[in-house]
Amino acid sequence: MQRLVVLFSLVSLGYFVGSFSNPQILHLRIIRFILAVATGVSLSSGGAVLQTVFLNPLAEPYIVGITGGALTGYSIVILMGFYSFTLLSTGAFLGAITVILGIYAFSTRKGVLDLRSLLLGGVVFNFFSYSSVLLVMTLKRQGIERILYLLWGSFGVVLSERELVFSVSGITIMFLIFFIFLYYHRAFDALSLGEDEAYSVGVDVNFMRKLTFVLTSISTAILISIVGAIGFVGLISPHIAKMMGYRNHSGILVVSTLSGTIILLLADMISRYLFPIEFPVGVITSLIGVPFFFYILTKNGS
Amino acid sequence: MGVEFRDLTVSYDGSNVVLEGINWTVRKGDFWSVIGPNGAGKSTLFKALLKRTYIHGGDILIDGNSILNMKMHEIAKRAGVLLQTEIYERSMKVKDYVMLGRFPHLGFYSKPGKVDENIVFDALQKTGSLDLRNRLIGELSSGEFQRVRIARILAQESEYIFLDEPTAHLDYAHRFEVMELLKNIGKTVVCILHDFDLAYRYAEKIMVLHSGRKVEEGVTQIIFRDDLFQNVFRVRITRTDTHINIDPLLEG
Repeated sequence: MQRLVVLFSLVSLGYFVGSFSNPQILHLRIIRFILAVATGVSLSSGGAVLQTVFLNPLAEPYIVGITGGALTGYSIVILMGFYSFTLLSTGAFLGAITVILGIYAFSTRKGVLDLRSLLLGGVVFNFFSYSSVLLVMTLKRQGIERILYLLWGSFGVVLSERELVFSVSGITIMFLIFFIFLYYHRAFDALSLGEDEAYSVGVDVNFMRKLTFVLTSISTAILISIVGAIGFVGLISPHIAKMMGYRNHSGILVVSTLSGTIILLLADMISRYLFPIEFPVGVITSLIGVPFFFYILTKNGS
Repeated sequence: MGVEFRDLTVSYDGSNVVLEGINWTVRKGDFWSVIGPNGAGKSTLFKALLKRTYIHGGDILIDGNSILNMKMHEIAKRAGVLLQTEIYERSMKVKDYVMLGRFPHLGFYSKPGKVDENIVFDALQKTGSLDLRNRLIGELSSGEFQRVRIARILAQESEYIFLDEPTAHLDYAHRFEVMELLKNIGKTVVCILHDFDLAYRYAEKIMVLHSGRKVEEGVTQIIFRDDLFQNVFRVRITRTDTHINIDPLLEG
């Protein structure tokens, strides 16, 4: 943990190199930094609790149709001819929430949330939404770049004062959700053993499933509406925490959040410095994340 | 004081009834075995205690309190239920696993204190699992893991312990070891057992389930009758004072 905190501090310091002399650049850099940290908190903690609740190491915040919903909402706004950040973000957020509620209703039978229906509903809806997005991209070619950035994510959003208030409120909620997950860490420990054991020690499994689904959905919907969908971090960072030896969710949540944030900060630096144009940060997280994931899998396996 | 199943009718899906009209009382200090053919509803009876079934009618009362009015952690404080299950997270340390038994007492965030650590220590000691405390649960043999699960239930400090086939997959030496342990832990114990010989040797009382209904209940010596076993299990039994022999029922 200590090493990770030192690494986080070093990466954070490196993130601001060259910006201290120029207040405008520093201001933009601070916003990017906050967005990266918030993304790390939201995706990593969301990935960790979803992997536990689904008992599936491949679960991540985008698996339950949230991206699809956000993309659809975003695309509808573009189709209507609007391109402002606030309208697009609101469209993405409303799209995500509508789909979440729809899939939630589809997966709940007699008050019990069925995880298989939830997973299937999400995956199937994502197919639908990607097709509808392609349709919008064909019809409204001027919106292609916007949609691409939503698909892959970017911290390079230029925010007006009003948009900043919108974003800060959203980020506050994301942090609050992280602390709620931390509060329930012991229930997640029990859930990681399977539902029989969790019920046996007194965990209300159905409540925990609903809570996890609703809170990760809200957090991810807010995230997508601000920075877009950044893949791989929510999947990989809980595994990093586990491979570092953390077994209890108090440790897993904190360490996966720290490692996820470090990956995002590094990815953002690479996207800005290594290429002549700025790449969507999600492209970089996948490009560095996939080989890294194979490396730690191999190392762990040996 | 006890656990009372009062005219209980339950299903899993809200329509297909699995258990019907069960009336049965487990009193404090009893040692029961629940027996019945496959699909009789034995595990469902235990799951109903954990509110995992739809209750169509009747109720379950623990020390006079309906489980319908109790939260999950309140049930866990009074009744520890160990189902046959697959454990997913196998890299948890034994001592952390047993500490989860303190969950109903600690709640979501309070840190385990000295008292909790002592209770876990005692539970591990009572079950002969103290030397396993720093091992991972995935490394344990079936017999060791069953002992550790019982330690977890002991750490839960619930008076009533319900175990679904605690001796499944164990060799004979370990079966006897687990049953001796359960007999001597000073709790009210209810075990689902497929091994009639173990039920005969250890249980004071037997409840027989068949096709979702209670067929009979009573003192072990009275329940182990050849006619009952022929009707319910389609086997013949002959018994001595200490054990029973089971033979297939030859028809025609």
